[in-house]
Amino acid sequence: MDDLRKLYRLDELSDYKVASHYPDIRGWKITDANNLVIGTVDDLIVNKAEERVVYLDLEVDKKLIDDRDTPVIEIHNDDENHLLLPIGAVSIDESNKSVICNDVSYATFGRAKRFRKGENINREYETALLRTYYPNDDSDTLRNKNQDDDFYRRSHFERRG
Amino acid sequence: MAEIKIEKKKPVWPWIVAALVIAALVYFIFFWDKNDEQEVIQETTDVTNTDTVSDEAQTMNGNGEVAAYIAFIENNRNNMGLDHEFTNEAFTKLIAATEAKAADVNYDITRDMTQVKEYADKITNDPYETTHANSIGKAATTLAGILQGIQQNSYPDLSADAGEVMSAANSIDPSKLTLDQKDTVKSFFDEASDLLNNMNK
Repeated sequence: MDDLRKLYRLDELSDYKVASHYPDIRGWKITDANNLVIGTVDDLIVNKAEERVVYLDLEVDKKLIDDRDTPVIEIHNDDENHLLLPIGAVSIDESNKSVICNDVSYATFGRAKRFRKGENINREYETALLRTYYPNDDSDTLRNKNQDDDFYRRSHFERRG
Repeated sequence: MAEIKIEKKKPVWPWIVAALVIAALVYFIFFWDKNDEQEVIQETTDVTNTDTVSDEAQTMNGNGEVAAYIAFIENNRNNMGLDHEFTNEAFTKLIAATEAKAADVNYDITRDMTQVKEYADKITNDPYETTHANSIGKAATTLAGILQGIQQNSYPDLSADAGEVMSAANSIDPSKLTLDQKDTVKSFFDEASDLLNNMNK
């Protein structure tokens, strides 16, 4: 993670933990709205200054990667099997220990550009990924990539309703 | 939609410190007092360390129990006091020495010794009872009788010494307080020591 953007992997922050009364969803399965398995939550990407999760770091399910029905947009290496998913795009089912993504479909995940586990993420990647997930989002903060203060104050990263 | 917050972990060291403090308190409350009691008992006892064995005792040809009793009496010979601890230990060591000497010469003292031990238990368990001197007198007399039996069986030349032990035992007055006749009581222990010493020569 790039320190300048205040993002960290929670696994790297030895003095931080998921706050009380919030579920630690690392290791939980994530599905789309049609119950198709997207992958597993491998880590939580946090904004340390605001003390909240902004992305889920997913290890993408191999079946999705190998699915020939999904159009291939990006060429990936075999070890590039991780994706980021904004926290605001999911709901959490604590009773079943699962995460449901309502905003992004199985097929869209198949088209998204993946990265290698632990690889540094830059704002250019984040913007491109959000455009993949939300192709109709034409807001200023996506067009003006360097507006750090407002980038994570978007509905994709916050609880709605 | 989901929200997950993070927080700083709380440091562990305050809990460790608290646990150590509690452990120390438990130790001082439940174990420290017992250690103090043992130390106080030892401090108030004027009895000389019985592990010290005089040269005379060490040169004797005798068993350990007899030597230990003789050494105990000799080490406390100049002690003018007669406290409960001294009396208890003197009887304990004299009983052990008498049993050892009887075993040496194959003389059966089981029945009489059982009686002596009952008297000795009374002395131990009722240190403030006014019948203390009575129990001491009875224990002394019975022990003197046992020693006399051993003497008659195996040491015919020591009849005078055995007689002095019996005389000293009979001099203990059950109607008087022990502290009022401490010389008489000590005399019994001294005479018994002399007899056992002579038996070992």
